[in-house]
Amino acid sequence: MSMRMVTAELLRLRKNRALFIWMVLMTSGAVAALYLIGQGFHLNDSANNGPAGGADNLRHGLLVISFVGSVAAAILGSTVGTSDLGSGVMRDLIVTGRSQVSLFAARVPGTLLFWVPLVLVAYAVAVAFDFAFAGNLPTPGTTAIVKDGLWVLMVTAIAAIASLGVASLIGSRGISIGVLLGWQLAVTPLVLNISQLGVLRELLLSAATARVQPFTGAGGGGGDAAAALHVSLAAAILVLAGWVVVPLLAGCWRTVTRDA
Amino acid sequence: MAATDTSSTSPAIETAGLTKRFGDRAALAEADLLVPRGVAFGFLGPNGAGKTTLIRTLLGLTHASAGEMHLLGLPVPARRAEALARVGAIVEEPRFHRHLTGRENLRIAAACRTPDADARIPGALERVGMTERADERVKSYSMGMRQRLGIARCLLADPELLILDEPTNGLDPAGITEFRAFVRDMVDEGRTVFLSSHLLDEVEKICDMVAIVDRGRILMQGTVAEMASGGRPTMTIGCDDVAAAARMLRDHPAVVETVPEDGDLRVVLADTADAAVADINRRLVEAGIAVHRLEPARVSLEERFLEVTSRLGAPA
Repeated sequence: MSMRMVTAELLRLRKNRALFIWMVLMTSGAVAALYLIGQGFHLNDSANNGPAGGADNLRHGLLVISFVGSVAAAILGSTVGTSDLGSGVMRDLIVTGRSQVSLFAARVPGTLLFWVPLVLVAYAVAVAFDFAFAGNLPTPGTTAIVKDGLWVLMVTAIAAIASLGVASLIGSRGISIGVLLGWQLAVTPLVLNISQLGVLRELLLSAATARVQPFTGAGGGGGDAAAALHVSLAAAILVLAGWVVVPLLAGCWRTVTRDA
Repeated sequence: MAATDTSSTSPAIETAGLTKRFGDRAALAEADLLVPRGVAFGFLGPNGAGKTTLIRTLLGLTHASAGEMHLLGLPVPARRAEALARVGAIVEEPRFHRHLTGRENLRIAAACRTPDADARIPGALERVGMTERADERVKSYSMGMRQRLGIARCLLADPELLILDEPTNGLDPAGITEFRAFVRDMVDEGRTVFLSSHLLDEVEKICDMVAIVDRGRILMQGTVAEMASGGRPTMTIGCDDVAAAARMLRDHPAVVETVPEDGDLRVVLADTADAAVADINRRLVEAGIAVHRLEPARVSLEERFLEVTSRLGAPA
């Protein structure tokens, strides 16, 4: 894998206007909508609705970015993981002599280079609105802003990378998006609430991200059930690493073994 | 099979016993192919004969079930990356990211090659006549323009070997003529062009050498002239009594077959000895048959192709 291949991957994503617009809407757009609607309620009925900003409300912005952003990450990962295959370009890249491993590997930094700025901008929008709409509430401190930012970046980056791996394994964009969203929106919340599954639930990404979140209360896609699991920190770190490594290895294996 | 030899004298493509099976069906059956360097080599076969399978196997797009392959003297898949760095290829039809421009698509392909591939982009576009349309999105291109862009992508490798699968698909007559000139230019520059096609006329016009493949088997290979003659000299006799001439020559020791054809008599000979031709002429004249024409017959590649491929389909 060379830097030129990573840059090429980034070019391919950056020039996909429809994808770019949807990603902006599902990150910055979603968080802006949250604050604007919240502030609208406040201005309309300030007796029953507090200001949309302030230190405590930053958590809502984070949850929107992490939840809607994870959905966006599933779409992005599915697109990256299958577009060469779907467009038929994969075989033209393979016949350059580049190994399938390096072609696959270039997708990972390429995806992150595209995705991380979008999440950072969305987070910056959240922080900006949080300060602008704080009213008489205390604003978040620098440490909290940094910690929250790193957490949301980690959650969404893992979602994008895991989606890329799963999509490369499946090979079809539509099916990949369906599987990933189904897993995230239906299966994960369901499994988290089946107490009979015991520690197996700790293998879920939501359980691990909830464990390392820098604030208390519900976080990520799993809500209260994920936060209530009390996963150990070591286990959470292992699970997070597993959600990066296992899908990537599976996607890489399929990229190498699939006839182009 | 040759040992690793990357010199300019090693064959451009060499396969031995190359086999590719899909379940019980052999798409390629022990294919032995030898493509020398510096020629335009046509790989002829009907649809489904195994042409694309051989190309895909050579390029590592699918794994061979058995056999050996060398590209430019390098064993593949063992030294595939090294070999393909000097190969440009289009498999089936060239595909691109439709939302990107032609130039951007070339940038993506160049990124997979050596750094000097980037510098070749303008020249490659110029060579295929795509400079003016290079900054338009590929989704607005016609099939012919995508073919041209596909060839430009091949040129990014500065290839010693070009492998083109059905390259004239989608080209209009002017484009086909340009393509012929392009192939000859490539060969004149010392490159090897291996092109698969089911268009016999095109191959006959473009190529120096040909291999015929059917049902996964390479039936014959050689120069176009050798292939057309099929190893048997044939002559056409124009005379006033074709039936009598046919009867008379049937027992001639130098004659293998006589076939009345379009008012003439086509005679297949056992060898090219001038003495046999002179003897045939003398016997016809002595028998009172007026001979007004006696010339070597030119068998087209198409006739040879149909003869060979239909023979394969004949019941045992």
